[in-house]
Amino acid sequence: MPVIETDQLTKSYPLASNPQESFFAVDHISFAIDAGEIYGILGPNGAGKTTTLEMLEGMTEIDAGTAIIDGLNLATDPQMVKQRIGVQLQSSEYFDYLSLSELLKLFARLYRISDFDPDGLLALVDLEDKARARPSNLSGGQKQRFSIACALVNDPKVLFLDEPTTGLDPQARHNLWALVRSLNARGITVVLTTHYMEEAEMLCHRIAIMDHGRIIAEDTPHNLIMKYAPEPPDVPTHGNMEDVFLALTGSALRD
Amino acid sequence: MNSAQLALALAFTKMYLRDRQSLFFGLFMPFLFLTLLGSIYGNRDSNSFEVGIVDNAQTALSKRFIASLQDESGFRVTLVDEELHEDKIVSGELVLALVIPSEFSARDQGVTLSVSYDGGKLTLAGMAMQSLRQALVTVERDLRGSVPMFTLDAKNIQSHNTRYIDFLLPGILAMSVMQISIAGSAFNSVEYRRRGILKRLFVTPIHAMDFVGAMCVSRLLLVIIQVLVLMGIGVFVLDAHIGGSMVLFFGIVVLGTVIFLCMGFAVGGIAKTQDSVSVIGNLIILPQMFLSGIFFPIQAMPDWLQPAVSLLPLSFVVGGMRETAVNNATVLDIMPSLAGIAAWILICFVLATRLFEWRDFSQQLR
Repeated sequence: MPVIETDQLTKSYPLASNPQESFFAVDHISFAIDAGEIYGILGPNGAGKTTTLEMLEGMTEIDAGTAIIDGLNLATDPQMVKQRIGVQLQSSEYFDYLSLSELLKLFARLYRISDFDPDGLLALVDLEDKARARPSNLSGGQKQRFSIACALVNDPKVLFLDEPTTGLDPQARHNLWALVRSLNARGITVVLTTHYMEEAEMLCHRIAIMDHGRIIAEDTPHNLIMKYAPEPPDVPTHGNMEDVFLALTGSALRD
Repeated sequence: MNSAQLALALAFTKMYLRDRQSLFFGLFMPFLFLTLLGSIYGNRDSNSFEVGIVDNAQTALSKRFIASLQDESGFRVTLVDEELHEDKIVSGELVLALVIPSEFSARDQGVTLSVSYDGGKLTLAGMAMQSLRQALVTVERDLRGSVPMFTLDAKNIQSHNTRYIDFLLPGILAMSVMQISIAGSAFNSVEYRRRGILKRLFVTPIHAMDFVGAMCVSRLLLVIIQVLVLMGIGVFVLDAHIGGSMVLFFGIVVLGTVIFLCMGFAVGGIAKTQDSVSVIGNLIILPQMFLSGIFFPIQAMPDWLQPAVSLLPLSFVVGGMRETAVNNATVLDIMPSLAGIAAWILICFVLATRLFEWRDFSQQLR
């Protein structure tokens, strides 16, 4: 049963070169994400991944089309939707001068949750010994785990992660994958964007590949590889997700 | 006020109190101004003028004249050399200088005393001249031993002799009202927007007004705490006098906070980067700090400048606070200040709602 359903979702922005004209950042896309899935959105820079995510998060106004999250129409009930989703943004900056547990309590209050215990959540993301630390004293991987903890204060049904492992070292990346899997095992649907093909292939149940604001392919990693990866002459495998990605979006350099 | 606003307001307050830099500028700097300037000029009567006298006669009579003038006028009289007296007026050491000619006698034909003053400070010099004329009449009677036909039995009904520290304290308090308010609504909100913190906040189900409301409540709280602390230091440590209605005084503090919060939000709307907010913010803060009569009365400024600077928002706030604290003014007495404050609240509120981009506020600027 889909927890997220979009129909002809569209966002257009004025062109930087000619503000009179506009272009489609997200161009009439429709997809459905089942409850319990880890769903990846891939695409080169400027493909429309973040705009799509921001529309689903209620951050960016939807120009046309509809999005239903957990049975609620985003256009009419944005505040109700925000109560049921957790969001980790690309930038993971927080207020200075507050400790991790103070920040988590603050976020809980923003969701109108009054009796909230930050320690359990910090333990879940392996930061229980950092309860009194300030975000500026955390490492890159710890910051991302803390961001995820902040996104979990309201016990969300859907968790949105925007490039969660960008800039992390391989250890921190694997650690974050394990965290995402364990959250998913608790029944949280995860929607993430990434530039890492390995991440998409290892972590996601299904993948949508976007380019120029459209979804140009959507399937399980295995099926995408079988369908799009060029068959190598000697090696018996069908290549990997990187081959799929480059075959679909070309090798030309983006911004 | 809902629980989300309350939680944010408490968080803002906590952050301010933990930020050493903001505490330094917010609390320590005003404290420094108060103690330094207070100990230098603290006991000086702000109503007395520095008058120089060039005594070219050097007779018993001229000395008696000088002594008598000093007694009668309340001037702070110093003897100066003829060559130096003009320089001292230009440098501001003296408000005016009186030259006693060498043929100075008490005979009936009258003596002409020449007076030099700085034309750029007409008002101040004018006030001094007026006192001087009155003093000369008294001195003349004194020297001639004549009995005045009329005497005025003047009573000073000002409960307290105003000293510089009494004058300075309300000014410093008004200055910190301005600084704390603008720091929150302009500097902090632009910083939070630049760093993507606001965007993160608006992913939760709060509204832009929750953020703005929390910022205002927390700054109001900080302003009141800070005014109380500085007032305590002024009164108990530096022996300053604050009279008048405390309700009225803090009423003006609150209204002043509203002006500068709105002004800060307007600045935050114009300024897109932290650099530009500090340029625009200081363009608003610094001139008001020095032109609004915080450290010295607006009347001491050049005449051509006075009408303009007395319209500055901080001038109205300082004026109202000082009238209340020093002269025990009532609401009716400070109507002009209150009208000015009301006008600035209106102007800044309209500017804030026009310039502050509510939609853009939740978007991280790239």
